[in-house]
Amino acid sequence: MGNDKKIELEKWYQLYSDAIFKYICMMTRDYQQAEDLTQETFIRAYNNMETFERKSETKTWLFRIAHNMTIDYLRKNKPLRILESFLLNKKDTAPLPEDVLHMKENIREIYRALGNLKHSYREVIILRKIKDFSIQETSDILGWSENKVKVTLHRAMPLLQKELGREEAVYEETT
Amino acid sequence: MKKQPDFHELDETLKSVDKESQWAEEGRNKVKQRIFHDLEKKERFFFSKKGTSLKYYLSLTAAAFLLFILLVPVLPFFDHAQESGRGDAAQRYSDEIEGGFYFNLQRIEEQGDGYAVTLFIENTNEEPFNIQDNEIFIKSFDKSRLDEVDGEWVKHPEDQYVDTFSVLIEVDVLEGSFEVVEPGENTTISFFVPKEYIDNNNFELMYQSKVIPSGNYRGNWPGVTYHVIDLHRENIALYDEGDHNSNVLVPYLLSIFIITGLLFVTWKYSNSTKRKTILSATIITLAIISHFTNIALKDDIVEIKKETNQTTLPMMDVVHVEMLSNNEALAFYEHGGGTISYFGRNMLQKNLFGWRNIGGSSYQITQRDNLHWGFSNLSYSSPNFDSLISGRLFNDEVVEVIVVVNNQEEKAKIVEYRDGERFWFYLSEVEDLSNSVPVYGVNENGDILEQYPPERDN
Repeated sequence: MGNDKKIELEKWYQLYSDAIFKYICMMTRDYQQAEDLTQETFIRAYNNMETFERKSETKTWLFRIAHNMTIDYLRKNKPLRILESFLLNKKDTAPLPEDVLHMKENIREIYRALGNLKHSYREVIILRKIKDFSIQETSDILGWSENKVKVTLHRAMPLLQKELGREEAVYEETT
Repeated sequence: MKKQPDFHELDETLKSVDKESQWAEEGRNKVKQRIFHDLEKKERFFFSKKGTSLKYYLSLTAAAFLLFILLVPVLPFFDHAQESGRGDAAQRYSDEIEGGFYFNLQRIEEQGDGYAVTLFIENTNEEPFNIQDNEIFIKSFDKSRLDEVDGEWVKHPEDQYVDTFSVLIEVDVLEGSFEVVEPGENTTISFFVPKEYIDNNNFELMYQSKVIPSGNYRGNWPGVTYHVIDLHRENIALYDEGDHNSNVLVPYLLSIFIITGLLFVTWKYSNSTKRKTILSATIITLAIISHFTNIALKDDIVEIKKETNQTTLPMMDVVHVEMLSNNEALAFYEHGGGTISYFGRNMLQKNLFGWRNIGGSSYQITQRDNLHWGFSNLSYSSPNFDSLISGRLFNDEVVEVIVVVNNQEEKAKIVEYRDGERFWFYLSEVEDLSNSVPVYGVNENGDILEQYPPERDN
């Protein structure tokens, strides 16, 4: 029983760990934390394998877990980080994903631009446009209505476009 | 008209993000190793059955135990501190007769406003057990005083204390000796009892005796025995005021089982962490509220009396409760009936379960010593007190009781109870009072009327 589960988990890891890790990376903008949360996502998936009813795709289910873990982490850490940086005048020294991952410059820009969007916009763009989940799958992962997915995406895309344009301008000025 | 932005290029770039960014194989393998290492580690330490660890069950059991502790006071079957079995006559005696006794109610005849009774008693004990200090008395169970009842049928023993709620009955010995019934011997007595006590469930006709070995017998013997004489049912049986110590083990285990079951079901079948947290918080909050309303806010005096009544001493009557602190108290009581009654004191402490009796002692009440000195060692039961001396006070002229400790005069506390009865007590935090510290009972003028140890005539 235990071995079967591990074989299944290994298969899942092989197929989806890369996508999940990058999703968490883009969400948290913390490479180290993304590794930890990826680990926790797969451990939680292993512990809850019996409750997985296979009504949705495995990938969707794993992303739902990753989403919950990430949101929990962001909720818990946001106030702490703000307070810490304010009181100790401490700057976050954790490496940014775009500094660690191997990627082309235009992709690096996407990472940076996404990082400047609020969580909900960032998340819906990642899932719909980068991970190519359907509207229904995205609504399953996020626990939103399909309409909310559509509306949020509609608002998020122009902002991303704007972020990319502004970044380009800044980039041109500084170089 | 506003021009719609063209996201086609952006869409294409976004689609390529995953392909164009690489998570180093080294990092990916490292995380994989950590995951499987963690799983191996957990399986090594916990018995895993269907994904549920031993830790999980232990946590549930611990939580159930905590809840049980908090819920104990609200569970109805734990409220056994009722004055159980003190109802009508049928409930005040068992089906048994003390071993070594044989009774025969030879005659019960209506005579005027009462009954004339002839009773045959045989000592069927083997050597060396005598039956002695025999007496017949009526005991009041509704706290109506009988010490002033008078009539030809009443016996007034000289120099002997008779319990306030008892009236001794004059007995005519028709055959044998009623004073001491030796092994194999018997006695036949007759006595008169007014109907008003026999027809009323608040009173009981009792036969009291002591089974005492003659000579230097070493071993156990029954001591004082109380038999109820039920004239209506023509029955004599051992006095029994009911089981005060109900068997709490079954409901205890049942409670743990139910609470653990509920928690298990909640945690096993609720997928929402939020729901689990809310439910657990609600249960714990309710349990804490229940605890405080049922233990912390209960009337201490009532609870202390109930707890003191749990002691298996026959015919208990708590006469006074002295609060020593918020969680420590002394309960003074009398028990027994007729000429064999006792004055005692128990130390009680309050814990998570409520008030608990932690020890005490009682002494037979005699009027030979008007201060009725008695000592209780509290050092084993209380962290705050060392010893207590106390006793009934029979001299009405005594207004102050003085205890001399280390050549210093200390005032003992005098407590009046019922209607005109008194006792005194002195409590010491550090001094050992077992070594006959002098106690004086003085009148208004400061004259010593009573003293302990008593003066010896040379």
